[in-house]
Amino acid sequence: MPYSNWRWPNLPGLKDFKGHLTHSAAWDHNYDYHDKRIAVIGNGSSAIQIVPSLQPIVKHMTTFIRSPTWISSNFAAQHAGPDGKNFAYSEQQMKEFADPNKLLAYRKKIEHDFNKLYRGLQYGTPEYEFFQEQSRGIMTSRLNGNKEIADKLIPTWSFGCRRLSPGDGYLEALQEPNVTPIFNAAARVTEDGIIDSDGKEHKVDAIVCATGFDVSFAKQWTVTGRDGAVLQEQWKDDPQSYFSVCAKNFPNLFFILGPNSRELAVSRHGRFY
Amino acid sequence: MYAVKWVEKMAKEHIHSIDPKQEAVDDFNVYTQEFLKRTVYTSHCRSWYKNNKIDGPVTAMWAGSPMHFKDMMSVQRGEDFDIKYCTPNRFVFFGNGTTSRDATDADLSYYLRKDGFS
Repeated sequence: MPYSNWRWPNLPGLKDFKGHLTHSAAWDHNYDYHDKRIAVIGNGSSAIQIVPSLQPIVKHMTTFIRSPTWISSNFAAQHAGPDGKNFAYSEQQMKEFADPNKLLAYRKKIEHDFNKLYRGLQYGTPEYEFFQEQSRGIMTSRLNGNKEIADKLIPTWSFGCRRLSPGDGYLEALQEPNVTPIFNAAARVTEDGIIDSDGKEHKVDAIVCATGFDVSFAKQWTVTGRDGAVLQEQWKDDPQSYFSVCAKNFPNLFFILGPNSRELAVSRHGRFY
Repeated sequence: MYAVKWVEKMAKEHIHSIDPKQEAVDDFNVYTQEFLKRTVYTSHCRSWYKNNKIDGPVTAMWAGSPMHFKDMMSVQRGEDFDIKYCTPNRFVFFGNGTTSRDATDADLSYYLRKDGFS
């Protein structure tokens, strides 16, 4: 998946927007979001981090959430800070890690726990039931009984089906008075706002598109193999690899993170090539 | 490491090219998709694991755990490839019948050990 090739939303009028338009992959650090009215489109891993980061400083945020998503607990949370959140290592810990054996033991414990998570990604395992119920509980409790958001946001499909994100602060941010979650789609963009699929206009100074990336496995450049085979064509609809590392008709070409390369793990791939 | 191992073998054995056999690719993909049916990725959601589709093959995931992937990647299955050689006889890399050990008169009984033979 080329993270260098991001995807803009397919919205009529996007080019006519006169305010600040940005994609999560091409962040303009010079733009000051303080006291602005902004829109955030998307609720994938990017939006889930952007919404709680910008909510405290913007005047108002309209965020377009087209599909439900699971907010998970933090994985291997027992190795993280309180409630499984991010934390800074203490001076004491850093001193201990100067000992390579202690550092290795710590790394091994984390890695071991991550490598266990594959069980929960298979139906019918106790771990799967546990993840699903745990996440439902986490979301319900963090949404403080806000049934409207819970009904729209908690998926009917399985936990893990979309990329998981712990989403520190995301559900809390959605309930802040300066945030309006919109659970229908953005329909078109005007010079100074977004019109949703109910026809309601939301005036904004800035639009943040957290709309993801080109997810194709072929690269943007043309790769031609035996007998004129072109990789982009061969992998357009159903990218098939050999063991994720090779492709038929492309002798001597090896891939890292090719089709079917992500072992059953949570957001930690590409370690074992 | 997987690719590096192949490249080393290719250099050593005068291999011109390796191309995965169609039947190996087919078997791999059939097995993978069948296995992945028991995973959450086939649930009814749009995701990049399925090429941004709601249904259809799971294009991103390996059919197994991290340990499984690591094990499978550690083996080069030559039988799954069409191999072409740079030389008319695939054993030209046998060379003149001697090894670098012979040529340098290095330890020519290196296989004898205290605890046996290897």
